Amino acid sequence: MKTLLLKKGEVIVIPLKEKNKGGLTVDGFQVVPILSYHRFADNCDSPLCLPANVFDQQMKYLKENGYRVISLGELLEFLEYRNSLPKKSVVISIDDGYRSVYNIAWPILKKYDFRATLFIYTDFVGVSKNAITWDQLREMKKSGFEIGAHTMSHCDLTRQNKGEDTEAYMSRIEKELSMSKQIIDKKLNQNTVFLAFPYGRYDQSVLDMCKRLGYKIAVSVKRGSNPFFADPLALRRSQILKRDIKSFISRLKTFNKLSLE
Amino acid sequence: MKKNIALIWIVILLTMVSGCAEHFKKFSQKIHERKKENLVQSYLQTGNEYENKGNLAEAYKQYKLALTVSPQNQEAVKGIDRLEEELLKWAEKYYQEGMNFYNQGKYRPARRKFLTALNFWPDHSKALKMLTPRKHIKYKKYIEHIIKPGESLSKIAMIYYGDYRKFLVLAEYNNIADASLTHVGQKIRVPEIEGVPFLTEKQDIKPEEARTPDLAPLDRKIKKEEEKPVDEEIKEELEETVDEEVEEEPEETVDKVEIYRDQGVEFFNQMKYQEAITEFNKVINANPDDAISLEYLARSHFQLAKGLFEKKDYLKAKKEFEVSLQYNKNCPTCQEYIKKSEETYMEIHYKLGVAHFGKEQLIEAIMEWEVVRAIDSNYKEVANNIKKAKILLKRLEEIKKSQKAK
Repeated sequence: MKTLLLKKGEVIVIPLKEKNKGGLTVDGFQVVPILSYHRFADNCDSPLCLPANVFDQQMKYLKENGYRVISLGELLEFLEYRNSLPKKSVVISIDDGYRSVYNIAWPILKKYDFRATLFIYTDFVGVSKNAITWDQLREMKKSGFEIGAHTMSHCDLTRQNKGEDTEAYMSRIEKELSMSKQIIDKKLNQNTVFLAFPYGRYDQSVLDMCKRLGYKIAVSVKRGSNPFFADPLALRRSQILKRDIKSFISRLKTFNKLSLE
Repeated sequence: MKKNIALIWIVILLTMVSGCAEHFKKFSQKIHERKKENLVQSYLQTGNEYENKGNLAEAYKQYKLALTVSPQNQEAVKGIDRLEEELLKWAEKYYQEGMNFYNQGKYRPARRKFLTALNFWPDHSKALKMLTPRKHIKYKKYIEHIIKPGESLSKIAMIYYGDYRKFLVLAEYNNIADASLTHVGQKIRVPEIEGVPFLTEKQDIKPEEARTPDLAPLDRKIKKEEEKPVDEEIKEELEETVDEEVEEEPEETVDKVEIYRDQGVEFFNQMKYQEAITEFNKVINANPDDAISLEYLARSHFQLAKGLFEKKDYLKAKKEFEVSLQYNKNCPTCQEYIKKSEETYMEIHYKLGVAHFGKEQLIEAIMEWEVVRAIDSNYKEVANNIKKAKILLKRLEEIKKSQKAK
């Protein structure tokens, strides 16, 4: 990582206005990857779960290769064309609210001074020893983690149940989106504006509803990184399902080449 | 006398020290000024170099930096004045070119032009607005349409909406990067726009399904329409863009539902049935007919129930066996266990009631028997026993009352 060393008496310029808000250059534009994780364990096999040592290796790679882990709040300012971001910015997100986020991932993230955004579905919080608790979420929030919604029951927002008319369906998904937000707002004393669509599934009606309910960022699992002009309510996100470092590196695209001369 | 001489020496010494300090201050100020001047010159030089190479946006940034260090620098002021006008002109030119592409439904080259405009002038609000439309139009239903010979998106828009300009809606809805490049036989979806009724008969209208719309469509799988030659200039522009832009990553092919199923199976194999149930429920939430998950849910609940049965938690065990039976209707073992759990549970509480009754603990006895009656009111002598115990309790209370009165 390149470090800027300043000497005593050296004259430097600190621009007052944010330059290059969209990360544009003549060679292309900046894009921000959002990484998506779920469970962690010392040893596990399913793609949903990442062994602790692999996660550590991935975080180490980010640290040693000059990546800057930013919050979704910072990304939002970039998407609103209000602020520029460090060149190799990346967001870490963890879905569902498994206890292993607290027990395993957090100590590793702490080691590298990284923060993440957790997307929790409220029905699951505190229900078993496998689930994160509200107290643990408060503790993580206090140390700079962001907590976003993931509906109440982890339902597929685009699926109308058999025998359910359109009105009942719309009212059910509205409840899933608004109640989960209200519960998190109340439990964590915050205004929840981040959402992850369960299974990454959404459609235009869902997007419309999210906007109306006050969500500012919503993430899918459509692979890829996000430029400043991406729709904040339909952001791409790369799931980290494989364990080899090569595959991890391939998810870290932070610049899209395109001649703008 | 000696005192006076010492005083004079002190005064001389102080004068020398303060003089030196003053001199040193001036000297360091000079160095500082020189450094600032060097910095300004380096910015101006870099700016000049960029300007000569035609990279006006970078040159502008350098002049701005020079001005930050030395706000009065005339060379920087002139450079900025000169470039501002030029940059705005270029930005506007690219914006207009972008609009031309956009109005033809050619989103990718349009996007590139808008980005270039913004690179020239980062505050070009119109270009920014075109890049970030972020309008979520509500489409509820769509019709599938197969493109026939001689049909273009604007013709199809005319057929369905009575407005050829709505070809942009069709291109965006179908993620078509270039509206002029469609082909005969291509299946497209014509969405019903709120407030704009279809002109054709409403046949085969399907509800909007789960899809991921992309407001900056970039579909690359478009075949060129043979009978409609592409304008040479546009063709050149397109080819140029395709060559330069880095390939978009392919769509995520991993089905998230599948990974929840895998996780469920892993938990099941580790005999973590409660955790397995959490994962399989996620699968069922998305795919209610997923046969594997339904089977695993039945098995997980069965195993959980057996564990509870062994721990003699018969009521919970019964409930879990019942859930298992819901997932697998053909489970005689479940039915046997439900019966066994229920009977054992009732027997235990019936006996507890009897024991309490024997110790004249009537309230406790009634409570135990009530538990049994809630499940089966005809179980053994439970109804009668409760009746008897209640009468006895009443009598006892009356005796207590009369004793108190005496």
